[in-house]
Amino acid sequence: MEAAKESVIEASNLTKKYGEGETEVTALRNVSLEVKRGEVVLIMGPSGSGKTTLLSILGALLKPSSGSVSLGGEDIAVLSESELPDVRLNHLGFIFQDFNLLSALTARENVEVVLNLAGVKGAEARKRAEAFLTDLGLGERLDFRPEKLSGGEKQRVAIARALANEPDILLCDEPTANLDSKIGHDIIRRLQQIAKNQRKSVVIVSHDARIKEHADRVLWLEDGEFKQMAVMEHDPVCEMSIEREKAAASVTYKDKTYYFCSKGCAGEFQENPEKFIAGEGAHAV
Amino acid sequence: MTVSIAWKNLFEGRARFLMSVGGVALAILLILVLDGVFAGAMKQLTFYMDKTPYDITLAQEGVGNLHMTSSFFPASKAGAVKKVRGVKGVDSIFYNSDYLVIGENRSLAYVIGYQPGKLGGPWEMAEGSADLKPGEIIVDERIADKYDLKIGDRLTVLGRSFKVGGLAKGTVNITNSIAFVRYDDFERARGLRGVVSYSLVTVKRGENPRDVIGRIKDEVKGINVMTREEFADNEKRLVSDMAGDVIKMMNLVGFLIGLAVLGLTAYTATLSKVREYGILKAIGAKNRKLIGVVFKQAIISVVGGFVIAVALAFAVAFGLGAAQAGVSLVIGPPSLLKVILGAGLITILASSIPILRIAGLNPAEVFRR
Repeated sequence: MEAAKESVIEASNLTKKYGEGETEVTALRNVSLEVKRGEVVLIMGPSGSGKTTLLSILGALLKPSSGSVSLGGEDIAVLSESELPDVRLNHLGFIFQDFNLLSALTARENVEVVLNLAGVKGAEARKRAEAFLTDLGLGERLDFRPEKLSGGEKQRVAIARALANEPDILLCDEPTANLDSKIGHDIIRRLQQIAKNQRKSVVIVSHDARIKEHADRVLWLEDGEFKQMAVMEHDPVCEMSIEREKAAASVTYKDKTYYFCSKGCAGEFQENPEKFIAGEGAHAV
Repeated sequence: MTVSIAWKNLFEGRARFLMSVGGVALAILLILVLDGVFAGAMKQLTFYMDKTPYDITLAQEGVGNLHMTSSFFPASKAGAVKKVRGVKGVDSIFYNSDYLVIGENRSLAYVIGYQPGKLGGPWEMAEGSADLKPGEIIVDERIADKYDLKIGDRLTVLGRSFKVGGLAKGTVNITNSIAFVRYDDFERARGLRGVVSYSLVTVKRGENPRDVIGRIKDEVKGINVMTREEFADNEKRLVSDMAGDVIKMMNLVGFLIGLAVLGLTAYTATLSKVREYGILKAIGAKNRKLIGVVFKQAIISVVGGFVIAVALAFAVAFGLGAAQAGVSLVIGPPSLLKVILGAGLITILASSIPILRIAGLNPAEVFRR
């Protein structure tokens, strides 16, 4: 449980202003956010609310006007431009709405190139790229260029690329926006598995409300500020994701509180709690 | 071994790559051919000096070459040179530029009046004999071929009619040919008496021509004395000075074509991939890596173009040689060095704008849709 509480990235009082004088626009106002290891955080909000700005700052692609971003104990907001590529390469993984694969490279090469940038070369890079892609079900698509892949396959290649250098955190910008609901669900489920099984933190910016059920936390960003926060819980009986505030019932067992989608699930849990919590722990609050 | 983004990008846009390589090849070929033609012309220009086995040239004082000049000095001076220590022989010639009038056609020629059996005549015959009879002329076989001249046909030069007595080989250059008449025919045709145009001096075995020149200068005044090589160099320098600006201009045109083609294709290739460069930056590629990709693409295009251009230039040179054309293409180390330097400069200049674009690319752009 201690590992689950380890903070991977912590943004404090982030403010970002664009322009100056009469044309000044404040995209973020004193935003703070802490993401723990293995946590899936969903940031939602209307267009222009500052989601992409926040993601860019967390991804060391943009510097805040004020505030700090601590990644592995280091404030990346004060690093020089020449130091940031290494941070992005070794600690952050990016997943984009448009997949953003390199069109001239095959699926394997798209992953391999990130390994090459990190100094892993030759057969080792090739082997690791193949392993990542095979894990994501793309073992038969290694030598296909992006134009020959479906949307879901492209996004899985992008996930493999994001994971290639074993980053601490995955930053996902509308990862399901260009996918149909089934494929989108599959992608989110994979991201959730990565968070839980590989202990990666996942920050998702999305308009897609269906992602909520896979997130540990949902944050609502509007006018550059977090307006409300929804903590997501997993019903240990039916395994459905539910917002803690909207849970139909809750039960405290062995000093932990469990939340349920219905009173039926709560009753079933109370009959034999151990049956449902064996091996569980990550989702409990 | 790493994934080569440069190669992959180039081969993804094959049409653009081929256009780029083709454009560079065309530009380099233009430079090489111009240089080659010029070098070939220079070589042909001095064939007479290069092929005639003598050591020292005597000319009128102040005259140091053949082209666009005339030289006459007293024959007695040539006679005096014969007596200078170290001189083996002195063979004098007449020289004038004139048109060979062949029916309705006119062909520019250096007309040489030489004494059969002595130095100054044709060095290789294609047909007939170099031992001319009075009233006969030797023209180049290619001139004969061009104007359908055969041995025994007549043409007019130096204001007189001559019968074709032989056909020489290798006397045509880019501007004219060399025609040979007897020394006494030339003398009569021009009404000359007691003068010669040039004298071709040979030195005795073991003598250094430079030492002999020193003695001639001491003992015989009023003539210009130079080695055969100096005479040839003067000829080259004069023509080079005359054509140099044109050649430089054409080289500049070739350079600018190459620069424009490669610059444009490098820029459009970079522009079409600018989002991908942004992605690479976002995922951790440093500027120097991306600049390396752009530069490598330009280098590949230029090297490809260079190899094609050099291969084509050598093929053209071989073809011209095989066809025994009047134009010869000589591609030597100076020309190759020049195009290598030019190609290097094209690579650097053509890459610079795309490189600046990449260096200034904001990686946060990747989130813009």
